[in-house]
Amino acid sequence: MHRDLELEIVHRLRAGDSTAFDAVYAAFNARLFSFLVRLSRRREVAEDLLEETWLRLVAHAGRLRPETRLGPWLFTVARNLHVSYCRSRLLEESHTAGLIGLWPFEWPRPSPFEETAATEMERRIESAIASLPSAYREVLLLVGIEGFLPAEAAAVCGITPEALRQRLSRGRALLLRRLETDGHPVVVLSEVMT
Amino acid sequence: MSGDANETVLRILSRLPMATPDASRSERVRARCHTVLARRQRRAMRAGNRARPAPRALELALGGFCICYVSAVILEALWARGIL
Repeated sequence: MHRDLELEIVHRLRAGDSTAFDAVYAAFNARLFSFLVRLSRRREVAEDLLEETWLRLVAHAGRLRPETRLGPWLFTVARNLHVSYCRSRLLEESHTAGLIGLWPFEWPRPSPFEETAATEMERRIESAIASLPSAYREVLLLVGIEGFLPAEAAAVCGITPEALRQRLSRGRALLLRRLETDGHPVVVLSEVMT
Repeated sequence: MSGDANETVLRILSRLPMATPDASRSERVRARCHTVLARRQRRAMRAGNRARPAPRALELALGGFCICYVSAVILEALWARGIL
């Protein structure tokens, strides 16, 4: 989104303009959903978190600063909602485990992206992304897929740019290793996907 | 890890397809957000309308008080001089 247009949309959003909201919604809805579904690995969870993200935007619209960057703002909210969801789920599972005396255990299910990936290559890549630890996955999604600058992605994740650079480097190395474990060099993957 | 491999990973990621959320739910969410925005806008307008008459009422009250005060002073003066 062009910066001038973004500033104008923020100005109109602050005044409660619903057409400005529609413009933001059209620009970010699918992007936020893709981010959330890859982060959570569950379509229904991603749908819930997406709805909450939009409701947060309209609830805070009047308090947005005039220079707000909508992309980082929305992805920060979405990411924080996911973190809260994971925390509450962890708490819930630990309570349940305490009650029934069993350690929570769940077989890793294929993510919605893995299930619907158009090609075998896409499926393998989605599977490799889904298998990464959450901290690496989120930075790779923000920088690699969403195209955020490292400084913006660091702000979204609430970490320093240096920490982000480290996570990004480790995440890329880990992803590369996972992609190459079954004997297919990543260069071949890249060529197939061109 | 080499720079080439880094670039390759990012290139692969950037080509992955985007997911689309459920259309009917998306429409419901959009409508809900519109409702929230409209409610907020109405509330802001109502607050604005309510905010305007307040200074006007204050002006009228102050004006009324001044007129009463001046009238009382004049009456008092006339009464003191024995005119009334």
